[in-house]
Amino acid sequence: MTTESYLPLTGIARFAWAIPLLPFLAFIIISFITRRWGKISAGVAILGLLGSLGGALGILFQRLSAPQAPPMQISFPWISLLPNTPLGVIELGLLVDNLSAFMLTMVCFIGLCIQIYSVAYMSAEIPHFPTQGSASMSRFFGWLSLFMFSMLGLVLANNLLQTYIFWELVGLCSYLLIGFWYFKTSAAHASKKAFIVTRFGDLGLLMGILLLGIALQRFDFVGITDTLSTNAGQINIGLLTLAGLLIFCGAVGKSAQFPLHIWLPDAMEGPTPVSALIHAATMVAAGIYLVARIFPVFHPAGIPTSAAMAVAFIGAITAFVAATIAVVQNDIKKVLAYSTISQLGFMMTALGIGAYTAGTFHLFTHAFFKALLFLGSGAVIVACHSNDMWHMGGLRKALPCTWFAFLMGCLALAGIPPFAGFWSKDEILTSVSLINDTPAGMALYILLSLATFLTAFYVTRLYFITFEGKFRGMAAPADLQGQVPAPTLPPPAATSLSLGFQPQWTEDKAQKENEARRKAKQRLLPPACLGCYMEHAAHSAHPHEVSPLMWLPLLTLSLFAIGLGFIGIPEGISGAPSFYEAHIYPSTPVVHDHDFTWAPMIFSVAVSLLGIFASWLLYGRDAMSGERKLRSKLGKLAIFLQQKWYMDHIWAKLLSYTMYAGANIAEFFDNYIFDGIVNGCARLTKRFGEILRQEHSGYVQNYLFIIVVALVVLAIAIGYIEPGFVTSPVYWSKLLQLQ
Amino acid sequence: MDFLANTLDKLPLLSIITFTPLLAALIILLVPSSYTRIFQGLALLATGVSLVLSIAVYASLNAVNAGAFQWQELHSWIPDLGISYHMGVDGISAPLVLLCGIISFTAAMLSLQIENRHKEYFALALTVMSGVFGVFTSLDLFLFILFYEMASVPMFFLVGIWGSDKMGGGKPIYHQKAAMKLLIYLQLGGALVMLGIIGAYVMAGINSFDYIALLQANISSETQYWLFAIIFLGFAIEAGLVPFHTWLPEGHSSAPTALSMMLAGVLLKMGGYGIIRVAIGLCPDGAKAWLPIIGFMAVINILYGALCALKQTDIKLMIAYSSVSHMGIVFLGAACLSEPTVGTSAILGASGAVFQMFSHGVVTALLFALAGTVYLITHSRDFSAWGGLASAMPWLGTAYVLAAMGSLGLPGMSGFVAELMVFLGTWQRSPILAACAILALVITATYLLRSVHYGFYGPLNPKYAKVRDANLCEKIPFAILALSSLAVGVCPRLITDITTPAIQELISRL
Repeated sequence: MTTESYLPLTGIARFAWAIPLLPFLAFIIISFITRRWGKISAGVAILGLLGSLGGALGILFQRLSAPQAPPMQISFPWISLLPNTPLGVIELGLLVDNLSAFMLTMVCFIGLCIQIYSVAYMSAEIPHFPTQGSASMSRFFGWLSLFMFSMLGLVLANNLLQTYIFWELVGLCSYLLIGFWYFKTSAAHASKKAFIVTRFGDLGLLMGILLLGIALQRFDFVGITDTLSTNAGQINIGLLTLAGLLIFCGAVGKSAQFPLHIWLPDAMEGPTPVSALIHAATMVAAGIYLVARIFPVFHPAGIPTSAAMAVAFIGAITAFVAATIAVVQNDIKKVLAYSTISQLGFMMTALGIGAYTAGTFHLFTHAFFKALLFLGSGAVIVACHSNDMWHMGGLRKALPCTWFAFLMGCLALAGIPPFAGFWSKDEILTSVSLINDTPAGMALYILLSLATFLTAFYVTRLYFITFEGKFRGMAAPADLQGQVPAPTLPPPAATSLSLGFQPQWTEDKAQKENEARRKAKQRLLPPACLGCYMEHAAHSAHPHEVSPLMWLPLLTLSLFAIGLGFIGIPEGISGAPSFYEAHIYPSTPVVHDHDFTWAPMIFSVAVSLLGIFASWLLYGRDAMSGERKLRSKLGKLAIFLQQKWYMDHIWAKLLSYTMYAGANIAEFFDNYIFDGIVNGCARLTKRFGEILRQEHSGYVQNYLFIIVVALVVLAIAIGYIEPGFVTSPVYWSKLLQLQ
Repeated sequence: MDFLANTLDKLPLLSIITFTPLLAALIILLVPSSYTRIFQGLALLATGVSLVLSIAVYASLNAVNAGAFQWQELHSWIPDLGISYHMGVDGISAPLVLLCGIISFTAAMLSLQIENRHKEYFALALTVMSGVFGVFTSLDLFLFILFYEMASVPMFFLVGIWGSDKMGGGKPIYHQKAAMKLLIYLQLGGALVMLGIIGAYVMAGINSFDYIALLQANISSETQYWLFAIIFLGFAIEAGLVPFHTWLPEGHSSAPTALSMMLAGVLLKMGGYGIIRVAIGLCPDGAKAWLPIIGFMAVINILYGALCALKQTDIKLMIAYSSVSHMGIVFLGAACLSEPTVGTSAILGASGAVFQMFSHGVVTALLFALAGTVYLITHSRDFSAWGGLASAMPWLGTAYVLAAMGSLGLPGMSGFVAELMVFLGTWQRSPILAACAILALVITATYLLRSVHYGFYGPLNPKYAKVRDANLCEKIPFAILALSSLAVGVCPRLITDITTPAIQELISRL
């Protein structure tokens, strides 16, 4: 290559640094100045993000006006040990290319919608908790702003180490926001689980970054891409495969891919806007974004490595497994959570087989309609004050705006033309169908087709149970409602039980204690001691439409769910390369040419329609009897699915046999071996001293006895060494003469 | 401003930093024992002066020339034995002097929590502080040993008199016994160090204890081999190398809050500093032979300490074991010096080691400060018995989450930078060792977040429904420590620019 592979930041992109820093500034202001006034904090956060959105839009237009321009970047040394050596300087920087411009705009826009929505949502939620006040609102917006800073920093990162830095920071924000209702045991547990499970993936990520960066002697994306495209032949493919797999581990953790997906459903403990923003639209997509960023590592010179195949298969398995679990959930947010996992699996598969455009396009469309679905579910939850779909029903008339937006989201998710999800999902399926002449490709195609069918099925189920029929409220049938898996099923043993300890004050204990006090007519426990039981029960009998601050963002997002797909209409239909494909400027040539054929598209639509039809047959008239029929048909399988394929159980066992077993062994060593030796030495010294002490008895005859014994021993010893001393009188005479 | 700078330049700043706390201790001994306020005030004043001056020294250090010793003071003391009063700092010791200043001042502020026998307490604690300052500022090895003993002996009384017991679940630990163990171990370490230093003095044959003079002396490789082993072992005991670490969890957890901070924050660093300065500095040939093995032991330290910490419900014991784990990072970084020719391994590893000493100092001191304060309020060190404290003490809860994040190596705080540099350095030398060390990241996250979950999240234990939050005297030291960690975590060059020349100087002698 003769020309520079990148340019410095020019035009509006020169201010790209302000995009992440504005929300950070908002975070600082909220934390230190406006902490007491929740509404003002919300305003500060929204203003900050508005600025970021402006910048992001500017950058997007700049990139779109010259889509073939090379990426722009700027960097400065963050740690400088040995200047002018490859690894002696660790840099931070900003990378602006088409992918990051699209991503920035998406993150800012969805973030803004969600923050506006959150004002109303949090105002409705906070009064349910007597210990929470206006400061909680500030806490929420402060952390949300911190998250926006981290996420935008992640998007703009120009090297792998910086990606890792922001990767961890979004993990922190996710931890804080899942545990936002920190007084609930479930939230505390879920936040810890999310952080630790993703950290398992991060181990691989860090190792992969070190392996790749040290092998190539550089960490920046542009440099890695260049090295891999120009010297592809000189690089050890085995090393690339290993590095790719290790880095993919990080993506598996963050994007909740099988088998590290177990944290995401639990993460629904966070307030619903958090689920929408972090656990559906943006942070969980970071794994996809990372794989897209280092796409050449998986496809050096356009040839997929084994790591790429692993990515594709993990993705397809995830897509299928999560979709099966989503079918049996009762919690509206859990259905959407599994759906998110499943859709992320679709994107991974696309990137794995080399369909860069399809994978990233689905990332964007999915972000919009999934955020919409989550926010819609939040509106429904606020209206009914329950997460259980069986407590809902017939909400179409009660919440018309929410209903309309939600329906658009459902259609997009189900993949019905012409909604957004159709175009992107169809492109993935088409790409997979191009390689289905190999057994591996066929397996991928079958898994994804099944997942497509299930997606259409569960989303229709969700829609009918929630919005159609009659409002059930708390009169929902007992055999259907309730948590999944039911409390009667054996839970995965709490992993720390194998260490032998648990928190001593629990919600159950609090509940019992409170009951006892109520009976004894004593003063009840203060609300803070009750955890989740503190919440004022306010199940409403007549759900009403939520405030416009909530449904306006919903309608805005629904426009995108309807229309966003049109920027990705494949060449075969419109006759020209799609707008998206022409502007995404992939860092390497797309592997599969789009020989457009109608067959896969028709097939995928047929599969989706079949799913909807099957679901309508069951749930269309009477959701409750349909559900009963489904459960009896599934039989034992239903329990297997409700237990999430027993993944939680497997992880719990695995941890207790590895990490916790290690802790028990280490503790044993510490207490009995190391400390045993130390204390043994001490005891030995003491014992020795005691033996010696006994000689000091105070009796003269004992001392005399010892003197005599000692003399005899001495004489024998000397005689042994120098026999003449005893036998020859010369010694003695000499001794006498000396005196 | 110029006038001030000129005056500062002429003062023997290092001596002032070192002896101000001792002077305060002597004055305290002369004041009647009921004048508690005077003791507290004097302690704050003396440590405050030391802090301000150590910042001044750090800021005025010539970064380009930080490989050489600056602010030197040289006076003849016992010329017959080649002992002189020689002080000075370079890029390696300057961050540690600063660390000492930060920890001493914050420890003095948290010493306001002490409820009995103030006179003895402050006199002894200030003596310890003088000792640790002296260790990092002295360039004469005889003086070095003197300060070393001054820092370790009073610890026995401080832990034995003002300490606390571990009761909760598991094996109880009594503070009197812990004090005994601590003293014996520290003295054993000190004895080995003294043996090694006298060995170096004799074998060099130049009749000088002066560090700079000894650097020029020719000690044969054979001798260096054994000298390094002896000196390293001595310092390693001080720095908590497994299996010589058992004093550390007991001593650190039994000590009163401020002294836990001093122990974990600074005393452990005396070991790490000694290894880099004395053991590797004086015996580079010996170091090259031993360091590969030390790298291996470092990884054991990291994993073993983390696994032990996973098993603790006593908050202070858990933090103490996390110190064992984190000091492993220092060893691992130092072990990178074994191969000075492999890429940037040596410079990254050694810089990481120094950075980790600073980082671990402030973060662990913060953790101990928070744990001690919560203990003072709840009278329980067992975090599984706390429950939901964030509802009752939001300030302490937030600070604890921040400290836990710092300790588990969250980017933006100091620990991440140190770990990143050490891992980058180690991976170039031995990917397997680095990969094993990286495994500890997840264990660290598990035990720290579990303590957050059990102690601060969840429903509030009614026993603590009416407890107080942190007061101003506690908030200030928390803020100082947290900000120090954040500052160097966001701008690592605050430290690396100073340490790099000194470490290059060290590598050039290997």
